[in-house]
Amino acid sequence: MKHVIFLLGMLFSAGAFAQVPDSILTDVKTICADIDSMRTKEQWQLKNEQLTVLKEKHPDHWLTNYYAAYGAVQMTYYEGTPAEVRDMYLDMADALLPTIENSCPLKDEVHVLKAMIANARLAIDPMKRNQQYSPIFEENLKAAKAINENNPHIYLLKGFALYYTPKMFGGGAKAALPYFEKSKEKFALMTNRTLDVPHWGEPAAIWMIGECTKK
Amino acid sequence: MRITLFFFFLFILTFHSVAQTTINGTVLFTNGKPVELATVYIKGTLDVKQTDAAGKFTLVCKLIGKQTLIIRSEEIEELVVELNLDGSTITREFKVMKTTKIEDVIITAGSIEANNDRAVALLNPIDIVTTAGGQGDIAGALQTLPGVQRNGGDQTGLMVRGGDVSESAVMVDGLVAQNAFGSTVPGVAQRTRFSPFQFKGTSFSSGGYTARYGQALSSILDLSTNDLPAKTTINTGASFAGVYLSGAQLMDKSAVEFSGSYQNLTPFLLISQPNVAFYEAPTGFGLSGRYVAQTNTRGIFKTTIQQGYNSSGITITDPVDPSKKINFGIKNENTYTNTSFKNPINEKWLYFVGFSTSNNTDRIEWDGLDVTRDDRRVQGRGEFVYSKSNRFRLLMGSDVQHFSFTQQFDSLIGGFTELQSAAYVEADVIPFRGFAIKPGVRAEYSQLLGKGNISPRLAMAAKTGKNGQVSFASGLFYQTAATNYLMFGYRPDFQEALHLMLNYQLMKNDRILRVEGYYKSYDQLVRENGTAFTPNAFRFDLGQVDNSGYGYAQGIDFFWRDRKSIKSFDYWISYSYIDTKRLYQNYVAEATPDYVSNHNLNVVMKYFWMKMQTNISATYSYASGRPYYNPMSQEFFGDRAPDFHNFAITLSYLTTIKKMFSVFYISLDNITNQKNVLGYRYNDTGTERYEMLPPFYFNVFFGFNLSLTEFNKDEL
Repeated sequence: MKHVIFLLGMLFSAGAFAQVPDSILTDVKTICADIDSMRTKEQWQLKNEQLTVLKEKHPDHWLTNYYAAYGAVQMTYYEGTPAEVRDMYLDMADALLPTIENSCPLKDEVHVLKAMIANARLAIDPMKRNQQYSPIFEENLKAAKAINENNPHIYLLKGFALYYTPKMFGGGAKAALPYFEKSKEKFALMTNRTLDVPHWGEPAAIWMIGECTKK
Repeated sequence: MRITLFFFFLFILTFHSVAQTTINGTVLFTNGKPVELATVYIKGTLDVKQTDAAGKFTLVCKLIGKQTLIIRSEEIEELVVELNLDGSTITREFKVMKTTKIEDVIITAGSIEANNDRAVALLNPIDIVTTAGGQGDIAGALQTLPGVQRNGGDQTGLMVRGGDVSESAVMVDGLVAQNAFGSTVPGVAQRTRFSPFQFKGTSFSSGGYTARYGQALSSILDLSTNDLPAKTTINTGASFAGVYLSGAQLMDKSAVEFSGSYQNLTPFLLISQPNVAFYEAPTGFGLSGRYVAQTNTRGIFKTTIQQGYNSSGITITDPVDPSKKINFGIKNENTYTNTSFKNPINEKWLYFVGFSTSNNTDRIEWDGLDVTRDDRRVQGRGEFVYSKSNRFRLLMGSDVQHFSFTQQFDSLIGGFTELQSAAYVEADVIPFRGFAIKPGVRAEYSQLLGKGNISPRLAMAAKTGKNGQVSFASGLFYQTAATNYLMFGYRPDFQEALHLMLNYQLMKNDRILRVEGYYKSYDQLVRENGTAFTPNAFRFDLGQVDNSGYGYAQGIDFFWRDRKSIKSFDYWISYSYIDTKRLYQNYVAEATPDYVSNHNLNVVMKYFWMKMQTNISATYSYASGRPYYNPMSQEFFGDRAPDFHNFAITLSYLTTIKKMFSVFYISLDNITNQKNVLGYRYNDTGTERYEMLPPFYFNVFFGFNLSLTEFNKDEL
C-alpha cells in the first residue's frame, strides 16, 4: 500500500512539475543566479542579452523563454529609453508568451508575467493607456491569486503599481506599503528555492518597504 | 602501462578540448566608426559580451574547431562569422552595416487622428477635454488644429480650409450623425450633442478623405465610440449650468450604460454678461442608453439611443433689417439611434453592418411667427474587409440613406425627400517597405436629382527616413445642394470639389512636426441668379438657382507638438494660412467668404503640476479679421473686421474624496476681455453700421466631476 501511495505521489508530482532537464537548469543557473542583483540599466542591458542567448540555446523550453520575457520587461523600466523602443521590448515579451503558456506548469506565474507586461505597457504612457491596460493587469493578478495565493510576485507587482500611481488616483507610498510587506511574508514561505520556480524580487520588496516607510 | 598511456592520451585530448581561444575584436561600421554596446557571443555558449565605446570586446571561448560568432545590435544588421578556434589568440576587426529597417508607413495627408493608438495619434481623447478654450467640446478642441477656421462664437459647425459649415460631415461609427450639433441659433455657436468621453477615437480629415464617405465637400469628422467599459462605474457631476449622472454595468463580455443630464444656463448668464439678450435661458435635458457586447470571435456589437430636449429664447439682430431686434425662440427635440456590428469571419475576412436613425424637430418662434423644421434620416451600411498580412487590405461596401426635410414658415411650406445610395471600394497596399498607396472609388446615386456621380480617391505615403515621411492625398468630392434650395423645389446638380494635398511629417520621441500644403478647386457650386445680394441667411427670394458657381482654396498648415522637452509640459502650435475665393449662393462677385480668416494661429499649453495635483491648460488663439459686406464699398466683401484674439485658461484639480476620484475645474475664457468684433452689418441705405459680436466676452465656468466607484478595494 505504501508503495502505491508513493507511486501515485510520484506520478502526481511528475505531472504537475515536469522536471526541467539538468542541461537546461545548469545553463539557467549560470545566467540567472544573479538576476536579483541587477541594479542599473547597463547591467540589465548585458543581462538581457545573456537571457536572449540562453533562450536561443534552448528555444523550446518555457523556462528560458520565461526569463527572456522577464529580461525584456526589465529593459522598459529605465529612464531615457524612447517609448517606441520600450514597446518593442514588450512586443518581444509578448511573442514569447505562447511557448511559456504551453508548457509552464506554474500557471500562476504565467498570469504574473502577463500582468507585468500589461503594467509595463501602461507605464509607458499612463494617461493614455491606463484604461486599456489597468484591467488586464488586475485580472491577471486576480487569476494568479486564485491559483496560488502564496505567490509573492502578486503582491510585489500590485505594490509597485500602487507606488507609482499618483496619490489622487488612490496610489502612493502609504497605499503600497502593505502590499510590499505581504510580498515579503510570502517570500519567507518559499524555503526551498530553485530557479525553475521563479523567485526574483525579494530584495526589491525589502528595498521598497524601506522607501515607503522613509517618508 | 597501456592503461596509463591510454589515460594519458585521454588527458591530452581532454586538455586539448578545453584549450581556450581568446578573441580580441573591434566592431566598426563600414565608415570606420565604432559600434558601442553591440552584443557578441559564440553560438552555443552563454558567454555574452558587449562592445565598449571603441567597439572593442574580448571573448574567451573553450570550444574548438569551426564556431559561429554572432554580432548584433539594434543599430546594425546582424553579422554571422565562421571562426576557426584552435587555442591561438584571434585579433580581428569586424565591419558591420547600419540597419536598413524602417518603420511602417502611414498615410497622413489631410487626416489628423486622435485616438489611443500611439502610432498615428496627434491628440488623444483626454487632450480634447483638457484643451482650454475648447469648452470641453470636440468641435472646440478641433479649432486649435491646423486647417480649421477659428469660430468667433457665432457659427455652428466646423469650417475647414475655406469650406462653410455645411461642407463638413460628422460620422459616428461609420454612420452620418445628422444633427451632430445643437440646432442653429443665429449668431450663437452650438456645441456638439456628444461628449468626448463617448469616443475612443477621433479621426479628423481636413480633405482627401476615404471612399467610405461622401456628401462633404471639405471635411469629415469620423468618431468611433468606446468598446466595453473598463469597469462598472457611476459618475456624477455638477457645474453652474447643470447636473449629470452616468453609469456603466460591466458584465462578463457585455455592458449596459446610461446617462441623464439637466442643463439650465440661468446662473451662468447672470455672471457672464452676454452680448446677446436671452429672454429665456437655455435649458434642456437628455437621456441615453447603450448596450455593448463582445462575441467569442472578438466581434463587437453596439447599440445606442439618445434623446434630448432643449429650449432657449434670445433677442437677435433682425437678419432683414439690422437696425431692429427680433425674438428668436427655439424648442428642440432630438432622437438618435445607432447600432453597429463588426465581426471577423476568419483570419482574413471581417464584416461590418450599421444602422442609424435620427429624428429632429425644431419649433421656432420667429418674431411672433411660428416656424417648424423637421428632419429625419434613416441609414444603413454594410461592408466587407479582406486583409492579407499588413500589406494588403481591401474594403468593399455600400450605404443607403433616406432623408426627409420639411419646414413650415408661417404659411409657407417647403420640403423634400431624398434617397441616396452609394457603393465603394478601397484598397490599402504596401507594395514594398516604406511605401503605401490607397486607391479608392465611390459611386453615388441621388433619387431626388435622378443623377449619380463617381468620385475617385487616391492617397499615398513614402518614408523619407526613420522618422519622416511624405504623403499625398487627392480626390473628387460631391455634395448635393443645401436644404434651403432643395426644400423650395430647386434641383441643382451635385457640387464638386477637387482636393490635392501634400504633407510632410516628422515624428520622434513625442515631438511632431507637420507641414501640409493644399489646393482645392470648387466647381458647380450652387448660385442664385437675378437677385440682389443680401447678407440675410434666411432669405426666401433665391432667384434662378443653377450650378454656375466656382471657387478655390489654397494654403499651408503648420503643426508642432512637443511633449518631451519639459517634464509634464505639453504644448502645440498650429498656424494656417489660407487664400480662398468663391462665387456662390447670392454673391455678386468672386470673394473671400465672410467666415474665413486668412491667418489662424493657436498656441495650446498644458502643464501638470504634480505637487498641487493640478492640470493647467492655456490657449491663445488669433484669427485675422474676417471680411464683411459693406454696401458702400467698391469691392464686394472687400472690408475686413478687426483681428480676433482670445486667451483662455482651464485649471483642473484632481483629488480623492473618501476614496472617490474627483475633479474640480474652472475655465476662464477671454481673460483679457478682448472686445472682439466679428463683422458689421449695414442698414439698407448703408448709412448706419452695426457690430456683430460674439455671444460672450470674458466668462467663467466651473464645476466638478465625481467618480462614485471606489478604487480597487482589493483585499490583501
